[in-house]
Amino acid sequence: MDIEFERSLRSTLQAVTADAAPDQILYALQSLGWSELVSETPTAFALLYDELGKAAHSTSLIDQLVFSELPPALARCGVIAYPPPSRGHRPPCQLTDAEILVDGWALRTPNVDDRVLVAAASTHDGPPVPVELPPLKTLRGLEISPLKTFDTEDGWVRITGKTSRADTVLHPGTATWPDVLNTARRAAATELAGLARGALALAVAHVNTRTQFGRTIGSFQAVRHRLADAHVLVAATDALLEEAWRDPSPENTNLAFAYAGRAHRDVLAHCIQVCGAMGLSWEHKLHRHLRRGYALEAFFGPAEEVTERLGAELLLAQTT
Amino acid sequence: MIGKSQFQAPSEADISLASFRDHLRRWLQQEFAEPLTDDGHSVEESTRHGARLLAQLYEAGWNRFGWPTEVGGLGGDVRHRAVLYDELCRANIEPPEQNIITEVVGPALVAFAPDIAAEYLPRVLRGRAILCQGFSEPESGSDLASLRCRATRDSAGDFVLNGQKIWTSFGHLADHIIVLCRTGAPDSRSRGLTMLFVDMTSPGVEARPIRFANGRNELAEVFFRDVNVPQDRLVGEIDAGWAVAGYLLQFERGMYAWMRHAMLSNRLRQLAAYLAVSSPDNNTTRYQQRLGEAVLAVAALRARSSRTIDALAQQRTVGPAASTDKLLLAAAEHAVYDLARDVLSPAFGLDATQPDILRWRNEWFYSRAASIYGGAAEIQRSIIADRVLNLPRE
Repeated sequence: MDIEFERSLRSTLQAVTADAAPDQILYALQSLGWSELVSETPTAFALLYDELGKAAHSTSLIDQLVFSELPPALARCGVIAYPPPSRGHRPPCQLTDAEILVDGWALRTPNVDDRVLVAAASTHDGPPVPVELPPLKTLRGLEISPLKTFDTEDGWVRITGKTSRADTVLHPGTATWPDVLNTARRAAATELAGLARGALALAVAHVNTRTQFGRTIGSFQAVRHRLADAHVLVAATDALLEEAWRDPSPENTNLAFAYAGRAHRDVLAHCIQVCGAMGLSWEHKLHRHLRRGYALEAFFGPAEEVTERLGAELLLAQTT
Repeated sequence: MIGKSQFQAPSEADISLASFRDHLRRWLQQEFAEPLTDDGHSVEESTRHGARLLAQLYEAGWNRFGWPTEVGGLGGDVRHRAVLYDELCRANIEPPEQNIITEVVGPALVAFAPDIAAEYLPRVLRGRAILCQGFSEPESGSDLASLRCRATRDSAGDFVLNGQKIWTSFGHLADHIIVLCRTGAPDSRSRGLTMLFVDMTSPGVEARPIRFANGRNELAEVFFRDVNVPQDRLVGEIDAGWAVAGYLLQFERGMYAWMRHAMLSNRLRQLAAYLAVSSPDNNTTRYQQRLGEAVLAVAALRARSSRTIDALAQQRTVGPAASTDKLLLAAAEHAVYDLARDVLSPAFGLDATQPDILRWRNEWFYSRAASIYGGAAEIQRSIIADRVLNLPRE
């Protein structure tokens, strides 16, 4: 993507994300030819997640990157229900001969017409695979309950229950669930970088205008150096993300995600400190950058767990 | 042994990076069946190891890629040099320590003094000469533009150099030094500085090693008393030495950082191997988290400095963004060596009778300087605050 095209795409994305309600952004993008754009230029997704992060929009658009990489037969789904977050293993939905036992978390409330994509494993064998449920209105026995995540108090939901396997579409051999998670994690890492970048911009604006002791506080070395450190974290995340989008291997994705999650945490700490009490008020946008980032980091990571696994993999590589 | 290898250096026509890496990797496998490290106990021995390795690499051609033909090179760009360090470290071969200066001073000579570069760089690449750089002075550390080492002109137009430099890596071992000195008025700051290339054997030059906190002679102080420097030893223009220094520092941010990243990756693997295989107690899981953190710090340095090297290869100016690379380098150095100190405890602190422990200890001490040399971390943060974030000046 050349610089001129990137600039014009960014300004389009900024206009769309500024005007549309979060649940309308996808429709707005599609009316502008988003599907054609990303089929030719998949890295347009990277700009989208960066801009969503910068604006601290809570959306379910991370799902869209996954859909774009799945076989077309699975891409008619509207929502992904990810295995419930927990330390360590995340149990997929269990398939039996006649039924599927569903337990998953989605980034938005599905509509009655939505087909939900879940991770499922038969009780007997193999890694979980993506499975498409028929439209929700045709299913009996599923319950959708709102979750109180750190991100927003509405939007994220848990889908649970036992329902018939009839009409579910299983595509073994096309993509495994770890592939899905890898893709979603790359999208989440990019949004985390955008959230940190947006928070840093808010903090820079604040220290440029706030005056104490007769000076703008951005002229105090203690403040300047905190924000310089924040910049370094954002810039390093960008470099790792660039590699992950160029070569989306699990290794590159995990490096970018773990770094992005830790960088987001540290950048927000710097920004909150220099914005003082104002940055902790409800009306200041900073807390939205913090909330969304913590939720994404916990849900698609957590970053500490991914970091520990990077260490474990390095150890393992020495013995094999 | 040399010259009989079936894996010769690729021809000039075939210097695509992938092919270069592939051929180099096979050549290293064939030539070096065993890891090749020096014991790390003395800088003198380390540079001798480096000289032997350079001679071998030069004869086969590998370290000539990435340098222009005018200085004995075989074409290509800085990325070829980056690949060489990657592959040496991957093969457990300690890169030549003197190259940390060659990588920084060499490009400045090529760009600003092509005749000097053509005369001296081939010797340096062969391992027959060592370069050093004289920037810091006792009273001019972070405030480099205040330096006082002075060059005047004699009646023949040659320079006469007087003053002192300090913290000069390999100063007591080097054959030539690149000296940033004042030619303008005492208060001319960065506008009145000039870069000279000085023969260390000239009358009036004296280099005294400085014993570093780890016991090695990493550094030196260099004195100049009425040293005659021929006028053709000028690097760049008179009073334009600051631009040469700025150009040179881009390579410190790019190539030096890349070299260190390659070496840090290797050290991290060695540390993991120690934990996984030979650690006496079963403490593997205790360090997984910190190993992961060190992996992240080195990966961030790699990703960032590979971008910087791409910029250098395309001859784009790197600018203030390079301060980010410098801070990431210090973070990676500290992450790897602080982890090593803890993993190797208590021997690290109490029993260095094993040479390996002594080496880790020496390197740990030197890693403390990573946030000081080449521009202290505080200076880098101020550059980012001023020139990247555009914050109000202090």
